[in-house]
Amino acid sequence: MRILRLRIKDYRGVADRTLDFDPAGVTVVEGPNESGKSSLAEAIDLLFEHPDSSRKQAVLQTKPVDRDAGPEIEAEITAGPYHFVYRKRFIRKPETILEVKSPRKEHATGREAHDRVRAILAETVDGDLWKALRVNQGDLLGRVPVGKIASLGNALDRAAGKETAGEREQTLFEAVVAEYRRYFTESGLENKELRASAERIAELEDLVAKTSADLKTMQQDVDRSEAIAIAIPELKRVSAEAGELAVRREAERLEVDKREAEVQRLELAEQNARMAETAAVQHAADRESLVRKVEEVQQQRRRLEAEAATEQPALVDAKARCEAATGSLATGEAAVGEAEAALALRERDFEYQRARLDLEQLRERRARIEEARQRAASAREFLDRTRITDEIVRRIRECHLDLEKAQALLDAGGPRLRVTALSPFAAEIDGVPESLEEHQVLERTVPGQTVLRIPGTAEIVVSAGTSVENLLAARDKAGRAQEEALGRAGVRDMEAAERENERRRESERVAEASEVSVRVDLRDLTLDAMTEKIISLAWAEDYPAQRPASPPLMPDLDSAEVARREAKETLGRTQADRDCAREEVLAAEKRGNHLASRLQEKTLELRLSALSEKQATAELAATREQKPDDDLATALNLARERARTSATSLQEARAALKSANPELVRQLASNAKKAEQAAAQRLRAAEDELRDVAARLELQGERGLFDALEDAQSRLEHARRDHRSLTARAAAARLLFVSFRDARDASRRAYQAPLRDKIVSLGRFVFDETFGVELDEDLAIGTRTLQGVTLPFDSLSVGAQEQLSLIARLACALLVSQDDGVP
Amino acid sequence: MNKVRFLHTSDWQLGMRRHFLGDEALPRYMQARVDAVRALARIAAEERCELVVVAGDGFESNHVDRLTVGRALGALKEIPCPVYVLPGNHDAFDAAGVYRSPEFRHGRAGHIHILESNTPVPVRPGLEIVGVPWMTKHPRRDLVAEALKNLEPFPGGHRLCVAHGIIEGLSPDQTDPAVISRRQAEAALADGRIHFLALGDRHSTTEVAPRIWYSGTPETTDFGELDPGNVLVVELDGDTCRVERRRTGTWRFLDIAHDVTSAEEVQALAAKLDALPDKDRTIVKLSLRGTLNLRAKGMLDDSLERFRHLFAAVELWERHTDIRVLPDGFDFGDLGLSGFAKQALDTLSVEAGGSSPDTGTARDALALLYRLSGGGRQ
Repeated sequence: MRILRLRIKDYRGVADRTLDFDPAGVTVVEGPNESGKSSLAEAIDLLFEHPDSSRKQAVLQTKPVDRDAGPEIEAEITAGPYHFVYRKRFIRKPETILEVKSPRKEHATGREAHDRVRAILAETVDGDLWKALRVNQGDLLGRVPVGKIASLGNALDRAAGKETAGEREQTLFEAVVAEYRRYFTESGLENKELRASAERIAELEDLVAKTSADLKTMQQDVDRSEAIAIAIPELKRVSAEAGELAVRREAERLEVDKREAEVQRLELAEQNARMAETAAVQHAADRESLVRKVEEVQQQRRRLEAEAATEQPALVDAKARCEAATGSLATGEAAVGEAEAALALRERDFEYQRARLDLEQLRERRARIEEARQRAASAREFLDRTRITDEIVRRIRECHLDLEKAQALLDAGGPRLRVTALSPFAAEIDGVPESLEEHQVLERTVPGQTVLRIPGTAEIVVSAGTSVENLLAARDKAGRAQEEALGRAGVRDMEAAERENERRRESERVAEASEVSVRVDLRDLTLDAMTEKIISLAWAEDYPAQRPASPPLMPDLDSAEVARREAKETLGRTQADRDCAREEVLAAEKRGNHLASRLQEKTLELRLSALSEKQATAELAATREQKPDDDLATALNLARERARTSATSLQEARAALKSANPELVRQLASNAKKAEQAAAQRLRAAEDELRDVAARLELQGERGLFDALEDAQSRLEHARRDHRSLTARAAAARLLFVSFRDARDASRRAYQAPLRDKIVSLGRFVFDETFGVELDEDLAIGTRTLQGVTLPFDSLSVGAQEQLSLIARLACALLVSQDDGVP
Repeated sequence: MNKVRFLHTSDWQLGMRRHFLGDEALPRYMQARVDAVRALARIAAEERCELVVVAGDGFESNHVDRLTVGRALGALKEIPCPVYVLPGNHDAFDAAGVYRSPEFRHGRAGHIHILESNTPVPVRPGLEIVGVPWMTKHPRRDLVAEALKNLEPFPGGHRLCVAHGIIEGLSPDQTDPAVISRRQAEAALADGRIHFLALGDRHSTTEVAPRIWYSGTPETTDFGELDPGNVLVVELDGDTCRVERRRTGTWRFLDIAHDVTSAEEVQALAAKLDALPDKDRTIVKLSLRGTLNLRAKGMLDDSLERFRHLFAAVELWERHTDIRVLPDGFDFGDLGLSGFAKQALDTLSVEAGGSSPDTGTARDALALLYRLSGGGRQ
């Protein structure tokens, strides 16, 4: 296909541009950015791919933004035998027009035109090659997948001088691969179906083997069953014969048993006779022993009687001693009693003397206490009543002094009335009558106003001036203060206050002294305790009258103490005497008891001995009555004779048994029995086995082994046949695949050379004369050599890779273009 | 002398399978054996037979499954007269004998009798049966001679001897001690100890001598059977003996030998197979010889594949089949392969023409290539 002319109008930013391509060689479109180079390439795709009605984004985005117009594309193209002009307008007033100029004229519009062009392209253009060689701006240039492009393959075949392998061969190869992959994995291993087929055969072989084995076992059981069925009658016969022999041998054994029993019986009889003999001997000995025993007990009784007779006097003597000692003890006890009574009296006397003294002292102390308490009480009563204190007295003194001072000031500074009687006369001064003698002078301080009335004569009023009033007021004030202080103390004047205060101090001293006196007399007691003590000692007052007159009461504590000590000593002596007497009594009693006990023992022994004697005598008499001594002797002789006879019989029977050879008879009988049992056992075993086999057979019979085996064999045969067929198909597929692959690879290796040569010749224009490439299996560039340095394609820079990719595309195009046109 | 009419049959081989039958045909084939018993039941009714004797191998094995026994008992029940069944070599009356099995014993109808010994069994006055059962699979002696030896003549009545085994003259192994003495059998017939010897074991209906017959199997069991698929209706009347074959079998086993050396001969074989009736009950074993190109081999394979769907089974008898496949110009010429495909074809063609063990694979590969490249579709 060649594009001869391309026009775009109202396309993106391009208003209208037409581009004419050279009908031969390569056209390079050059222009500044945004001049529409990329739009040209894009427009070709839109023209071929999309119908005019398309609303796809790729189409919509080609509409110019500054005009309301539909983008138009028009191309003049030759492809194979066709030469046509093809135009499309999208979006606004969509339209498609095709004018085919040759090989024959055609005109089409709309969808029909679109489809017709696609048909022409499909017929004349290698789509794969077109796509492989098209590179859009911004795409990474990849290596050309040469091996997949049929027209390129054909071109290379031709270039290599080979027969063309076309699309048909490629399709066929794909079918061969698909067939191969039905049986094998990508890595060439058998796939699941093949493996499963083999496994299924193995499983079925196992099943057949197992079922066959079961059937074989079953047949063995059948054979065994037959063999047993044949053997059983013979076993029965042998068993019966063994039974008969066993019966005979058993009879012989029973005879021997009988003889043995006879020997045992005689042994027993002989044993009994010997025992009877022994018993008779024993009876005789027992009788003799009994006689001896009677004699012994009689002797013992006599000895005991003698001993008892000798011990009786000593006991009587001991009793007499004991009685005497008891008398002494009673005397001693009485003396002790008296001494104790005397001591008690003297103790009492001593107590009395001490109590009497205590009582006197206590009474005196109590009298003093009461007296002191009374004093204290009256003193306290005064103290409670009086209001005077040292402070009050001091206050009164101060007030008194203040008054005297004020008075003195008044007297000194104030007006004074001086009346000198020139003749006696009576007058009244401030209402107080005064009689004055001739020349008598009466002086008075005028405190404020003093009225001197001379009755019938004159009433003279003397008034103080202002300065005197102050002095007067001060004196009055001091006077009031003194009055108030005295009033508070409850006394009349200062002297009375002094006296009252002195009395108060005295009362305080008295109260304190009384309390000290009370404490001294109470000591560690309270008054109540003291009173109680006095009451408890009151008995002493009556004691002299109540005590016995004799011996006389000692006059004082010291003599009472002496008398008491003497009485105590007397009691000690009498007690020692009495203890001696008690010792004697105990010794006498002990001896008496010992003798009495011994005598009692002897008496008991004597009684027991008498009882034994009586019993032994009775026993002897009873046995003699039962069997007199003569009879006993006869029985002994008879027993001895019988023992002898029994021993003889036993000896004879033993000899007879030995001659019958019991061991042999028994062994034979045992053997016969065992043989019988063994035969029966064999028969039973055979019968049991037969039953077991029958049971097994019945059980196995239910399994339908024949059908199972036939079924398994049938399935195995089918599986084998299927497997043979499958493996044959797989082998054929593999062989075909290998043949195809090898042939294709060989072919590829052959036409690597023309492509490589083309790439190298183009590359040397771009690089230099040292440029070289090697192609890989897929005819893609594997390595590049430049200046003697060889690098893998993937190790090259992106720029170098793109250069090589473009060169490879151009090389492909040049190879193909010889017949098939410029791609 | 009175008259007796009875049905003689044997070798039902119930439970028999054929491994070459597929999943669809096998159950039909097995059912056909049971159906044969039902067919002979109808014949016995039609012919008013007094009894039926089964001369051995009623079952294919003593170890058939319960289902087979159950179906056999069902079919036996339909026989309208007493049935006397003789254990044969396949169903010997041994410890594992199918006739001893609980299924058979409990399911057996009252008119079914097993001939367990050679003691004569009275059927009615003037008619008794002497059975010669196989007690084991390998008797190692002539059981019939042994049974006949102690018999007294049976004047005025009919005594039928029912036995199983190969008779002198028909056995391929003349040294087999179990072969039935024909001479002694004929002597017993001659002196009136027996009046008919009903034999089983041979599957082809065969008259050995007057009054000595093999009934054959009522349904074909294998290739090479001469006249299978029958039962015999026997009538003894005084000194006369009439024996009539009645057809019961519906299946056929066919051996077909054919040369195939061209597409035309392949077509001829197909036409021959097409012409066969009752294909669903026919088993074909083919012996084919010849050299075919890929196209003709493709035709043959397609034909056989088609017939495998029509017949109960189509087997290639590998021992007698030898087809060589050689691709020729016609095979791939039309396909116009070129390039590496052509090279691969050439390589394979050389291999297919050789004589190495891989030759067969190479031929198969060529056939595959032929198929993949669209050959034979024109």
